[in-house]
Amino acid sequence: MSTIQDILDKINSTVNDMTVLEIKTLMGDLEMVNGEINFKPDQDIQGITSRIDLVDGDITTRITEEFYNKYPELVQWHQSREAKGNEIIEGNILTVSRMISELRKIL
Amino acid sequence: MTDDVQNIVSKLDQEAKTLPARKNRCIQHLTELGYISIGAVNAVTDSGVEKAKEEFLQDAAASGLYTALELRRAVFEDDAVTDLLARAVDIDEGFVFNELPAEGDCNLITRIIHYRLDIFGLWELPVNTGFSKAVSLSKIKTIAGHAKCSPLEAVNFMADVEKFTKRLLSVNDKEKFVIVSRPQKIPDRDFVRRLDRRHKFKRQLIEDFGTKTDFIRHLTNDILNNHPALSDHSFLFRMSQDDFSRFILRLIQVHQWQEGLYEGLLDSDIGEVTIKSIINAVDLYNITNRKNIQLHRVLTYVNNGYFLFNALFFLQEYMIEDDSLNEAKDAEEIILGNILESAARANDTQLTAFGLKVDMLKAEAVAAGIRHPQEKQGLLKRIYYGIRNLFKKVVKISKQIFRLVIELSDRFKGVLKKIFGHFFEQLSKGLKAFTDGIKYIMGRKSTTTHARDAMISSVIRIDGDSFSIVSGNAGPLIPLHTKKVEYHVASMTFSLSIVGGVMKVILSAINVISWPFIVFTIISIYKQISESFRKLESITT
Repeated sequence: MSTIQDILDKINSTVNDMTVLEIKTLMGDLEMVNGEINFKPDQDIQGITSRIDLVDGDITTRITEEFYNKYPELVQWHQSREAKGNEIIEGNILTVSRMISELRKIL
Repeated sequence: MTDDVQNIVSKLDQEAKTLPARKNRCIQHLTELGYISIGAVNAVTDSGVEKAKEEFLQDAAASGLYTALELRRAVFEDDAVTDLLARAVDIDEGFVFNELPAEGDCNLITRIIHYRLDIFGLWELPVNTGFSKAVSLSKIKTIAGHAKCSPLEAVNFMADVEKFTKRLLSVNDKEKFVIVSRPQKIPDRDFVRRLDRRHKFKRQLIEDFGTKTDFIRHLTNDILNNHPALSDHSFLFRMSQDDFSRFILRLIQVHQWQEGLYEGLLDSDIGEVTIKSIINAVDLYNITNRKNIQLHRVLTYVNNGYFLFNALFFLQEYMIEDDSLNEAKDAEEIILGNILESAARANDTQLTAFGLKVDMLKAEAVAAGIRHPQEKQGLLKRIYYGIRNLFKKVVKISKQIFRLVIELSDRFKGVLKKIFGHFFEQLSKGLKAFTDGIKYIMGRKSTTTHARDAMISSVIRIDGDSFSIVSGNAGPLIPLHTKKVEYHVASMTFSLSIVGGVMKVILSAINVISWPFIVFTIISIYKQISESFRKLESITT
């Protein structure tokens, strides 16, 4: 279980991080390590990464050619996450801000 | 201070793991609705249960009884199927139907109707038998005859036992509620001797009914006399076989079962276990209403194994609740609030004792959760999980619940087990939402969809960031995975609200109070937040 300080630090950094969206969809061979799914080492990872600055509108997208050509449905999936990211921020920002202000009163 | 807070959070994490599981409740309800046969329930396997759940979910989706959101929850949340099942078997506020099924129909609605008839002792076939005029409708008409209503009304009355009881009392002659009963197994002589209150019962009957009717005159002159050998035994036998009488006794048994006062089989046999539950009901009534009603007001032994029962008084006084508390939710909030207030005022010794007894109640709830539903004598030994009417009854003594828990006498243990069993369930849901909320904050809540060699796993963070790992031929998994992710994103805000509420409790409570206080405050917060989200869902869906 995370420590309280970890949780409070994470909430704070999350609020500061809500101006930039990072979306990643990656493909490769996977393995289970200590109950978590990870990529096996020493392989070429295919996929897309996007960085969207919500303040000035800059979008940076990197995509591997093979992924783009062979997996159009996964490209579409990635794009759907980009579209939904902003909605998630809108949905959570009020709850998280309220949480921080109430906890600050107590701490 | 941080260490104390950390200890509390760790303790909450441990608490969540000790709470009762709902798996056996799920099995019971699946059996009650005929998705698992009674004959197979003693040895049903995990795969048998999964198959039964799938069949139920298909029927639930086709029935039109549930919202899309409820059905989605059941797909994506492990425990939500039990919530759907609970609604199907609810006889406090069960489903109300607009029409009867057609001949030959066999679906969730027909199963629910047959289940209700089974509860009231009128259904002997498997619950998943097709609906028929010859059998199903004929049995419904028996209920309709007792309640003097249409068959459709009768089906809906069986979904609200309190309303049904009021109806029966209002349309039937009062003297029909003086019941004769002879249990299959006669209780021992000492027990029976203690219940022999013929003279007082007789005086009370005259006071309640007068001596105008032949029936009451016959009872007072020829039955409740000092000469058992001269009693009219053929009359007693005839009365004990009367259909309406047997139905009312079953109704009383159902009431007792609903309130945790009776844990035997629903078998219409008013034996020693049922009689003891009636004695406990009288005790509970006296405590909740500050009265001193004696048992002879309700029951007396007569002779030769026969009992006379004043079901009119019993149903009117004990089974019908004050309508000023229309919402069981209000009753639950009042009860929780009073438990918290009592905990806040208690001294250390009382708090320790309360905590220990709550742990004992929890251990019994866990044991009940582990205990597999059992078939006995062809009947299902079952627990009633509904709580609405019990809360309305118990709210009158909610300020005494703290003390009653510390005393934990056998008389009220069943009632307290039901109340606290419900609270443990709420706590379990609250702590799960809290844990999920922490995982969302820390970026550790993943949604995974897989089939054979294909897999997608996504972590969606509260700041909108998304990280998905895909492997193999994952394309066909996308539609299902998208639904799962959208569902988890929708539950994210709720989980975060719970985290906020619980963290506030923990941080405020550091220098105070007790573990039970923290736990019950969390239950209260979970309920408040759940209610506000439920209202929001009903507006937006």
